Amino acid sequence: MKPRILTHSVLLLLASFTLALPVTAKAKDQPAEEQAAEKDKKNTTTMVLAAKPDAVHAAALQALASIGCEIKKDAPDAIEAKRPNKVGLAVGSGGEKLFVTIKDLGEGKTELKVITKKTMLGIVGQKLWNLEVAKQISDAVK
Amino acid sequence: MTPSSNRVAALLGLAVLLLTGCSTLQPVGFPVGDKRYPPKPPTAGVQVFLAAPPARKFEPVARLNVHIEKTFFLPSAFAEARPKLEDLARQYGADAIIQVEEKKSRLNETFIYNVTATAVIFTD
Repeated sequence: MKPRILTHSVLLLLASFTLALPVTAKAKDQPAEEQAAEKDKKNTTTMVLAAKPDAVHAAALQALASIGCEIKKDAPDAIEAKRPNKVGLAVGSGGEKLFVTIKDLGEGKTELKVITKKTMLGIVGQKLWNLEVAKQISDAVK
Repeated sequence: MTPSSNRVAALLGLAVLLLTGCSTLQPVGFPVGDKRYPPKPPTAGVQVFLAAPPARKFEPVARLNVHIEKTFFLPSAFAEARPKLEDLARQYGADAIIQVEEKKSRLNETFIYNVTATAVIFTD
């Protein structure tokens, strides 16, 4: 009796993960070019901030730390970071790469671009962080 | 070793491997201002002000961040992050931690816990 209860519990758990996966049925009706453009929009956030590039850079480092990123490359105009992979019961998490570019527009303005790239290993447990990171940076330099 | 004890050892090994690879704890500090203070010894006390800032005069020396992620639906709490925050504060020569802000979220089976704080040095 006990093994049956265990099997049912595992099946229920796996079913809950399946329900949590994003729905992509809508994308089937769209042309390939539109799908690519939409994907680009989703994983990229660009904004112009009324702050100096060094302030944006400092805020970016803190925002990336707050989502558990490890900094791989750090230059005044570009940061590359990665969230470490974690083993899980079904999907785990982590593995996303984040790219931040900082462009000085002059007159105290800076263009910020944040890109998330999902990686093959553990892609089901990954998410797009660009919007959240960009918003945090924007709030920090206000 | 009997076959059954071999099996138990293998299962234990697998469990240890999974549990060590299922969580991350990332403490990071960011200096504030141009002044740098010498680090404090590991046994030095660090006061934690959770509700209100201290009545004494203080100066911020660093922003602290501790990020914990655990899979297998395991939650995290401030008690787990506190020693790391205190360690970070000591590295910046701080006397206390203020403005503690916690964030909790979930990504599938992963529980995400993030806490930020300001490390300060008393100036009076």
